Amino acid sequence: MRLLLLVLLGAAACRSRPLYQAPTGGTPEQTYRMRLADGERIAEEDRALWQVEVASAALWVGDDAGAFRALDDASRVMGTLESSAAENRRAILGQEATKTWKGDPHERCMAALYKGLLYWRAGDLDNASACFKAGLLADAWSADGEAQEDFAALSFLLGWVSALRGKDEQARFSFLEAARNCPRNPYLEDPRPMEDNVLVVADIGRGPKKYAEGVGDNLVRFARCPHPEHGIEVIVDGRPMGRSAPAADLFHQAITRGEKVLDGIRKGKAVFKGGTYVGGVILINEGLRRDKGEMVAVGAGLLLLSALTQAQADTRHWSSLPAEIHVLPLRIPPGRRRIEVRALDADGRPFPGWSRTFDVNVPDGPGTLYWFKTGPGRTISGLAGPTE
Amino acid sequence: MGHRYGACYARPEGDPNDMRMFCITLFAALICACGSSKTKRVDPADDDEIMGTGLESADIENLEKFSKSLLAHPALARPGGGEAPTVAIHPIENNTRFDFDAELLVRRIRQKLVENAYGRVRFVTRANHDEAMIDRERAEKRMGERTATKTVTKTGADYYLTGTASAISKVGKGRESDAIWIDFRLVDAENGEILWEDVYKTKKVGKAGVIYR
Repeated sequence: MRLLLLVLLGAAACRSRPLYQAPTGGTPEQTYRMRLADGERIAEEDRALWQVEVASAALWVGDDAGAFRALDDASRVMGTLESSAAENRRAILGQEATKTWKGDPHERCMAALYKGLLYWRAGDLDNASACFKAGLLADAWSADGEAQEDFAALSFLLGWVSALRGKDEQARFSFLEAARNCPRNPYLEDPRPMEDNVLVVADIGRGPKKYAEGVGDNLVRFARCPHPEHGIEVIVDGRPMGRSAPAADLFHQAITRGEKVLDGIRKGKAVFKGGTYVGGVILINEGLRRDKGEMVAVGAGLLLLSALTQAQADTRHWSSLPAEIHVLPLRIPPGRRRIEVRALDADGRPFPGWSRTFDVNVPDGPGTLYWFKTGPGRTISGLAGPTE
Repeated sequence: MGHRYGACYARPEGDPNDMRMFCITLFAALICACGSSKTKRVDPADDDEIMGTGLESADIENLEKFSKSLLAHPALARPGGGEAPTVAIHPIENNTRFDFDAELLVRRIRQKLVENAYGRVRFVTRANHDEAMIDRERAEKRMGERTATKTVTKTGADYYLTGTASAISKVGKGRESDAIWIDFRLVDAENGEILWEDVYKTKKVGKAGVIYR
């Protein structure tokens, strides 16, 4: 009786829980509302994931303050990778997705990048710089990955902000790092933050999807999501000013995260799961054939163990990330300007109807930051107005 | 075979005591689970269980120790019992990888300085720490000195207190370490001379949990 109860308790503890998936509505505003509404029923383990998804939706509708609040809350969870013994036990013995979501290195990089951009837009260059540094170090957590601290967009932004803060040596070093890690982007070669008064940062396309495959879904995989747009063109008062160029490929960042401890544990669990299943089936079969009840019972026990062993990988991921981060330094005369942003195809041609116009007041002096995002449904979001 | 009290396996099958034992075990597990989520009051100067390697409330509380050392400096003693000198507190420059509320730091330092100064020194806060602001401060002081003869309130500061947070941060192989220094300087607004300097330093090492490595 007690054994049965313990087994039932174990089974209940090991029961798979549904993973959080951020809803997406027809418009950015609907998406933002739907995601905010999720807050009342979100599981504690998914809270940081929910917050970054809310932050993305807030950025799409131009809510700087809402995006900052969500990212600030999320970064408190994502900022420390410590875990309790109970959490370790649950994630190792049971389902991996019971652990608190803190994101993969590329997701922590992006949380830091967005937070840095928001600090920058609020005029706090010190904290913007701190966030870009934190993002670069978040990339280095992938200790066994093929590439660490190679997030060129973060190096470039750190360089730009450092130049604005008068930290010329840090700026020079960061720009060199950015150019080394992304040699094909012409804007990273010789940036002039004190002359190019506007920096455009753009999110292009849809970010990588994380999924599981293999025995018991134990292997983590990332897939590129197809997207038609490959960049943006900025037109100021009817005059083409330039086209964006990629400074970070999120898929590349995701697949170079390196091997994790849990990857090995899941592989072991998958082998155990397979072995106990095969052993259980053989024992039951033989037990029935020879009419030996003990053998059938042991076989059933092995089958139960196989069923309780959860080898599936944690596939929770920040679904609102872009495929690429683009940059475009511009020299725009100060004053009231009409900025048109057009999405471009792979050959650099603008998509008919996929554009948006922003009326802005370009301030005198360096350091103006505009952020744009191409989205599904041929939308373009942007933070180009003044901050609150 | 004798009946062994307390040994559960000796009870006959279907004994209601099995269910009682299960309920007791479940209740104990619930008590343990509830106990771990209890909120408790702690001193802001103490470390807590959720520590990162950045600046914590304990670090900010420890910054208060500078107030006495600073106020003991001869420059802040009233020369000849004259008017109380004015110190402009500028924001702490952040060169670390941690974003923090620089205003909170300034506020905590100012509160402690005001508390310990007993009116011997006047304090004002400034929003920027750039060179232009310091130049303005100097000009304001000169302007103040001129206007003082016309019995107009002096607005420029005699000294300014600045701070810079710097760090050496390392991450790799599932570990992180951050050595943070916060330097404070009292500078003469007139000639830029550094009159007093002190540093708060801390180093923290963290390790990622096995499930995040």
